[in-house]
Amino acid sequence: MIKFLNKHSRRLRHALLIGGPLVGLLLFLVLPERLVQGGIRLATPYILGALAALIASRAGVLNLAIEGKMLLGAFIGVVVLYKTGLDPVVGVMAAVIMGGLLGLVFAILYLRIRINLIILALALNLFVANATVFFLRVSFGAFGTLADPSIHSLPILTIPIISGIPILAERLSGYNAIVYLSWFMVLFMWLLLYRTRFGRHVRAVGENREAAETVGINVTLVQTFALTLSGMLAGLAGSFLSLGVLSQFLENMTAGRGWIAITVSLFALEQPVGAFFTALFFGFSEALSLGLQNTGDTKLSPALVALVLALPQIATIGALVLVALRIRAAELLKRRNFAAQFGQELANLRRGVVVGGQD
Amino acid sequence: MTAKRLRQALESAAIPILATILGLLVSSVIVLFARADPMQTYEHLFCEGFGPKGCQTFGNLLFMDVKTDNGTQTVFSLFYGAQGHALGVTLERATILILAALSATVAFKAGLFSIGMDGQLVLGAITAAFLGYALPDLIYGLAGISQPQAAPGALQTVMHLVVPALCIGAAMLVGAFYSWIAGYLKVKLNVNELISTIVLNAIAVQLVGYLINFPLRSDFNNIARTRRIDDTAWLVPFNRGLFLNSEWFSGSRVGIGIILALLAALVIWFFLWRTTAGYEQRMASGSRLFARFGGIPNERAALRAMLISGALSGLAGAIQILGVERRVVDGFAGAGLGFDGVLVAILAKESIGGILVVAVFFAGLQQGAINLQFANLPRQLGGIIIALIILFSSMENFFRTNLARIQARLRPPQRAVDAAAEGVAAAGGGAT
Repeated sequence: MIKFLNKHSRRLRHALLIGGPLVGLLLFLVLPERLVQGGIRLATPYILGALAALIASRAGVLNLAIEGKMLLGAFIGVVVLYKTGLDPVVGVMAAVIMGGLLGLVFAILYLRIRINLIILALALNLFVANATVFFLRVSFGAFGTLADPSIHSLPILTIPIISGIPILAERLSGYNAIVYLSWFMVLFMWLLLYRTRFGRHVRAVGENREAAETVGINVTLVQTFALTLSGMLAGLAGSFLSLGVLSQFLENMTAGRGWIAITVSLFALEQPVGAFFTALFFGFSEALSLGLQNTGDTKLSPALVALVLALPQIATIGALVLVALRIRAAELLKRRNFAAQFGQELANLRRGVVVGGQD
Repeated sequence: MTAKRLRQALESAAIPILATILGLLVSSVIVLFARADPMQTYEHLFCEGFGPKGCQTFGNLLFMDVKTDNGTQTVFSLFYGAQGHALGVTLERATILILAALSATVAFKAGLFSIGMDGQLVLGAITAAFLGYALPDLIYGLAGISQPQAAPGALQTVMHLVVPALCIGAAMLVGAFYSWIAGYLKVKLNVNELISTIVLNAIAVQLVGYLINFPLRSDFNNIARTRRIDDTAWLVPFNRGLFLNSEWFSGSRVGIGIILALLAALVIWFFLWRTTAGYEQRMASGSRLFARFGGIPNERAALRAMLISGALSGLAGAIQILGVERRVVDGFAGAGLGFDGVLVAILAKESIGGILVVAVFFAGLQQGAINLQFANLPRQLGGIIIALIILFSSMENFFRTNLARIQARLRPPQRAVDAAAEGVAAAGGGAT
């Protein structure tokens, strides 16, 4: 396995880079339109959540509080609109701002007060999950659900030119603004990470903190920015759940999507474009599983439905193993190259010269 | 010597106590926001979590005046259990927390940050729930008994002993295997165990959700659930068996589980601090390189730690089902019971005694908050308080450096005579 990976690493990568989108495109055009629409809708929070996870991770901070930030975004989006009759865009913006604020608080607690990262994330998740339900009841007298006719969901957009093309119209047009924004954010994050000074600094801090510090990068500032951005993205993902799909807030409505988003980002090796396709993979298998459940076909084995749903998770474990194998393969290759280059000298040293008398 | 030890104990308790006070103070702002009186709320909360029936004030947690036939009498609250003591229910909740926290501690002590307790726990629970009815069915089938009630007494007695043991054993095996996957990936391929356990948790939760909804679903109840376990697999609660006439336990389902949990705590303590294997484990966590140079087999210690950790999580799940819930209901997986254990372990700083105290404290807060619902406050207040206490207690470094700074400012250069006492005093000063 390791040998195989070493030999064909470049070819494999190319095959994946070209083959993956090709297969995706084919499926996109062939699959029934309802499935495609459902898949894209389900993938949107994963795309945004995965971007949130990867920007923090790239800056060297493992952000496990995505779930909490998403839930807060979903909550704030609805609360702002409740009985105010404001435009849903205001709700989305409030969710983004609150997510960013929570990200900032997270950064301050982690970087200034130096709370352990994992504890901080788990405690924040616990706090948000409980506080949203608490305030729902105390401030609005609502038991687990906040819905009101004054809360509107985001309007559906029709893309001018595409909506005229027969096959693409149903598949690409007719989503709300956050769906399109999430695609745009993928591009934005790619540009940010690979084409800007800030992105270079983020990657440098994540790769090697000490080295980045030595060349004069303000590590604290970079990580604070990354965490705030991460919080904003997670807040946006949350507002999609409460204002994009439904127009209400439900108790614990993220239901583990924050954790799945982290998995998506891991699967994609923390690359924005990879995260986009991985999120679509996760979203489509969820849509497929839901679709299979709703066909009402009694002959259909429920095991198949569950397997389709769990497929991405199992694939993620596979991907983690592959990445580990890849790293190990690279190490072995380096060692072999080193031996090939300096093997003779090393052998001479061992034989002839006494090195400390221990070898 | 003992004085020194006492001082050390006081010093290590100062920060958690300070954190608890701060957590309650900040939560009281939230209580005020809900237009409730914080003092009354907390009295209610603690009474419902730790007090006897009829407890009204903080004082009642210790002593209570009880009306008897010949006038009032002051009793020691802990032993006053007419109509049930809240601690009984709290201990029922604490059982699973203790076991999950022990599981986390074993992994942490080997330097493995595994948070896979959640997945291992639900898998253990579903294993125990399935065997809890399948195994007795099998035995009755083999013995040719169609009416379980008509089974001979001797068989029943043997089954009461054997079936729960088998269920628990199987659950522990399943948990251990699931944890071993993460351990193997870590040791052989250096896959980060934190990341792999997050993914494994998600898989386990989905798998159990599927099992409850499809193959193991027992009836067409709105909320999917498995069949109830057979009476022979049931770990009978104290108030139904051992302490049949004791009112102290009435209303709570605490039973053999808490004894098993305490036993497990003792065994784990002995293992970690009194055996060679445990020493290997702790060294592997202290410094990987040092352990390797000392000739300690690193990989074996890590794998062993993961196996033990998984088995403990499986045990936690099995006890929750066999002793308390008797069936798995949809929503059990995904409730994050394992994560609560991780939090307890972290807050207890991986000390066994600390785990027992923290687990009971958290369980009491959760239990007390449930009964706040009758006082028109959502039970989520308990979770909020716990989250805040965790946050404050993990600010330890911040407190310590700032306290040192304050101390240095208050006292001109002259040498501090009694540093420890000072630390406690300053900690108390910081709270006000």
